[in-house]
Amino acid sequence: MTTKSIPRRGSLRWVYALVALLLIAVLVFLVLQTRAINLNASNEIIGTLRNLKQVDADWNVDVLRAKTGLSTNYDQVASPLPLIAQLEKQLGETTAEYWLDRHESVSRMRPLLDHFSKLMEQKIASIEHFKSQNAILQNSSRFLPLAATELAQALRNSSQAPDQRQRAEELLNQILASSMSYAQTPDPELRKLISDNATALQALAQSQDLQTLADTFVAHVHSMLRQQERGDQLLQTLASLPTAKAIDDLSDAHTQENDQLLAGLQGYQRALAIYSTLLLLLLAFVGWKLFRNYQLLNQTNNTLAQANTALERSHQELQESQVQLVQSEKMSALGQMVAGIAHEINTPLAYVKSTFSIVRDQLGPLDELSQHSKALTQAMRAPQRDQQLLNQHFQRVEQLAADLSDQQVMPEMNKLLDDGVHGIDQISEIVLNLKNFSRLDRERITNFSVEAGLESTLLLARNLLKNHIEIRKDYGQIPEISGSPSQINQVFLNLITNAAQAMPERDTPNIITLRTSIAPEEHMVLIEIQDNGSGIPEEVLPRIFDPFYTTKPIGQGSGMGLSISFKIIQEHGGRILIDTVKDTGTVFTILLPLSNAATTPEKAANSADALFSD
Amino acid sequence: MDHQSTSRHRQFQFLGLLAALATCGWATAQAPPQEPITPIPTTTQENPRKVDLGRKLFNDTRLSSDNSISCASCHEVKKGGADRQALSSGVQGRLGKVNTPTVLNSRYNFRQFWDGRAASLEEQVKGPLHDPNEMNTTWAQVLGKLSNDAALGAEFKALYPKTGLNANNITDALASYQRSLITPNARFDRYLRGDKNVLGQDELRGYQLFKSYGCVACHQGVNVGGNMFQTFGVMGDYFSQRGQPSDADLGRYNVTKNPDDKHVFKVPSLRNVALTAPYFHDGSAKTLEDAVDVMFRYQLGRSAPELDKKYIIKFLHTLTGELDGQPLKPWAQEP
Repeated sequence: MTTKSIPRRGSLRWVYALVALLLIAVLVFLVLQTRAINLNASNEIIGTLRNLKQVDADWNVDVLRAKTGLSTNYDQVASPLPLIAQLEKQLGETTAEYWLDRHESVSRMRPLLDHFSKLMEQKIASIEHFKSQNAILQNSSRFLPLAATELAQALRNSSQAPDQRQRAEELLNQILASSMSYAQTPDPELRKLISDNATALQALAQSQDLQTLADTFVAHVHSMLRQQERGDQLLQTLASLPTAKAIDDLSDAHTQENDQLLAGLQGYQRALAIYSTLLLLLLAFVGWKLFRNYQLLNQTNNTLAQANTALERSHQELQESQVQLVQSEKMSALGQMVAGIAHEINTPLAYVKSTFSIVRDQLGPLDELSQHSKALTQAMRAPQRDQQLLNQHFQRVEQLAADLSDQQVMPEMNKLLDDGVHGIDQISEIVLNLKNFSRLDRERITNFSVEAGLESTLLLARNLLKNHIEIRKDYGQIPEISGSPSQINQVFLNLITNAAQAMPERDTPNIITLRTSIAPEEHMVLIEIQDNGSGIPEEVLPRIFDPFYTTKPIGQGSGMGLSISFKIIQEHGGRILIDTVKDTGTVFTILLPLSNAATTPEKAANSADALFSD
Repeated sequence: MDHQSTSRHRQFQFLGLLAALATCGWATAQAPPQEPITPIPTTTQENPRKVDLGRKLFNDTRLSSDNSISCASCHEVKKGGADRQALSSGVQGRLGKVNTPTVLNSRYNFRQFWDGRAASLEEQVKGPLHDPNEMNTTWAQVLGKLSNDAALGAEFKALYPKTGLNANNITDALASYQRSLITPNARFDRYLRGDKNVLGQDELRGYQLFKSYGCVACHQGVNVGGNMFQTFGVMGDYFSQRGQPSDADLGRYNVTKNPDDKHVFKVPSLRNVALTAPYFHDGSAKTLEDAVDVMFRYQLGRSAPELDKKYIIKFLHTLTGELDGQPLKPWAQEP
C-alpha cells in the first residue's frame, strides 16, 4: 500500500504543476490578447488615409489646372510626389505595425494596400506622361496659328499658281479650324480629315522655302493631333484610376478590422475578467483549504503528541510489567524445576531410607552377638571359671554366629549399603545438574557448550519426559558458543517442555529429536528440537511469539514462554524458525551466531587498531 | 459592374470639372498674369551641424574605393556644382555614362538623376557611391575607413546619439548638405521679386522670347525645369542625327521599361546654366548656343532668328545666383 501510494503522490504533483502552468498560460494568453490597442496608431492610419485622399483629390485639381493653363508651371503638380511617397510609406509602416501579430487582418489589408500602391504608381506615371504631353501640345497648339500665318505669307509672296495658292490657304484655314474643334471634341473622322488636308497641303508646296514651312506646320499639326489624342487617353486613364475608391476601401477595411478587433478585444476583456475572478476564487479556495489543512495538522499534531505521551507512558508500564513477567516466568520455570528436582530426589531418598531401615533391623542380632561375645570373653577371663556359665555363653555365641552366617546378614548389609550409596550418588548427580542449571542466576556471558546445555536441560525435565517420551539425540559436536547459558538453557527447557506437552499419551511412540549442527554459510549454530506431535494449528502460528498468548488452560501457562525465548535468542543475535505440519510434528530451529566466540577477540583487536591508528 | 459604373461616373465628374475649370481659366485670364518661373527662397531650414558634417563627407575621398575622388571632385559647388566635363572620371579614370548634373538647387528637382530613378536626395546618395564608374565602393568599405576616424565618429555620435556612424546617417548628412546648396538672388529672381530695373532690355526680351517660343513649357517652376520628364527629340530624331546610340540614351526607359519612356529624361534645371556647360545627358552641347540650337530643332520643332537666340541666351545668364551670399564664379576660360 505505502509503496504504491508514494509514486502516485509524485505523479499527482506533476499533474498539479501542469494544471498551474496551464492556468498561467491561459492568463498570459488572455492578457496578451487584451493588451491595450493603440488607438492613436489607428487614428494615425485613418488620418494618413484621409490625408492621402485629400492629396489625391488636390492632385487631380492640380492636373486639371495645368491642363487648362491655370497653372503656369508644374511645381504644383510635382509637389505632392514626396508627400504621397511619405504618406504611402507611413501608411505601410503604421498598418504593418498596427496589424503586426494579427495575420488574418494583415492578409486582408495587404492586398488592398498593394492595390492602392499599384494604382498610385500608375497614376504617378500617367501624370508624368501628362506633363510631358501637355507641354508639347501647348507649344504645338500655340505655334500652329503662327506657323500657318508664316506659311500663308510665304504662299502669298511665292510664285505659286493662284488657284494652288487659294487651295493651300483654304486647306490651311480648314486645318486650323478643324484643329480647334478637334481640341474640343477629338473625333477620329475629324482627325483623318485634318491629316488628309495636311498631306494635301504638303503636296501643294513647291519651292524649298514653302516646303520647309509646310513641313514644320504639318509636323506641328501631327504633333498636336498625337498629343491631343494621347492627352485625352491620359486624362481618361487618370479619371478611371480609382485611387480615391482604393483609399476609401482601405479606410473601410481598416475601420471594419478595427471594429472586429475591438469586439474581439471586448470579448477577451470579458473573458479575462471572468477568468481572473475564477482564478481569484480558486486562489481563495486553495488558501482556505491550506488554512484548514494547517488547522487539521495542528490538531493532529496535538492529538499525536498526546497519543505519544500516552504511548510512552504505556510503553514504560509495559516494560515494567515485562520485567515482572519475565521474573514470574522465571519463577514458574523454577517451580517446575523444583517439582522435578523434588521428584528426582525423592526416589533415591526413599531407597536410601528403606535401605537404612533394613540395615537398622539387621543390627539387632549383631548387637546381641556382640553382648554375648563380650560376656563370654569376660567369663573366660574370670579367675574362678563358672563352667556352666561358660557353656551357656559359648552356646549362645555359637548359636548367634551360626544364625548370622546362615542368614547371610553381612553380605545383605553390604548390598543394602551399596544400594544406599547408589541412591546418594543419584542425589548428588541431581545436585550437580542443579548447580549447572543454576547458572540461570548468573546472567554472565561466557563460552559454553550447547550440547551440555541440552543435556542438563533434559535431566531437569526428566520427570516430564521419562514416562512416555523417547529422546533421540543427533549431536554434531559443535564448538562452544558465546552467550548466557542460563538464558539459552531456559529457552531449551521451554521448547522441550512445550514439545512434551504437545504429545499426549498414545499408541505411537512419542519422540523428541534433538539435533545440533553448523550452518557454515551463515556462520550459525543450528539447534533443532523436533517432536512428532500434533503440530501447531495454522491460526495459532502467527501469534505464537505474542506475549500472553497461550493455548493452555488458565493457570497452566503464562503465555510468556515463547515470547521470552524469542527475545532471548534475538538478543543473542539469533533467530527461531518454526516448521510445523499438522499431525506430523513441529521443528523449532534455533540459530545462534557461531562466530561470536571466535570473532570477539578479533573484533576487539580491530577496534584497538582503529583506536591507535587514529 | 458597380466598379465600372463608378469609374464612368468619376470620369464624367472629371470632365465636368475640366469644363468648369476651362470657364474659370477664361475668367482668371483677365487677372494679372502669373510668371511661370518663381524665385528661389533666400533661406533653407537645414540643421547647420548636419550641413557641416555633410560638407565634410561631400569632400571626403574615403567615400571612393581607392580614396581618389570625393563627391566634390565632380561637383564643384562654387563653380556651378558640376565639372565642365562631358562625362566625368570616376575611380581609376573610368568615365561615367552620363553628364554630371549640377548639385546646386537639386533639392528643387522632383526626382534625381537624368532618368529620375531616385525619388529623393537620400535615395540618390547610394547611386554614385556604388557605381563602378564613379566611386565604386560599398557601405562596408566606407564605414570601415570612416570608423578609424575618431573625431568624425564623435561628430556623428553628437549629431546622432543613438546610432552614431552608419550608412543612414552618412546619407542623411550628405542629403542635408545638398539641400542647403541653393543659389538664390539671381538677377532674374530679383526681377521676379519686383526689382524691375535689374534686367536690361535684351534680357527682358530674351525672357519674353523664352516664353513665346515655348521653352517655358518645360523649363518652368522654381528651378526653371527639374519638375517633369520630357522626350529628347519630340519634333525630330536627335539620336539618329547624333549617332553612336548608347543604353544611357534610353533614359527613363531604363527605369520603367515602358516603351513610352524611351529617350525620356528629366528636364534639367536652367538655374546657373551659364556655368554648367557642357549640356545635355551626353554632354554633347559645348556651349549655350549649341544647346539652344538643339532645343529649337528637336524640342520646339521650329527655327528662330539668331538674334532671338542671343536674347534668350542673355536671359539664361540672368539665372546665375549666389551660394552662401557669394556670386558663383565662372570657370576660368581655357586657353
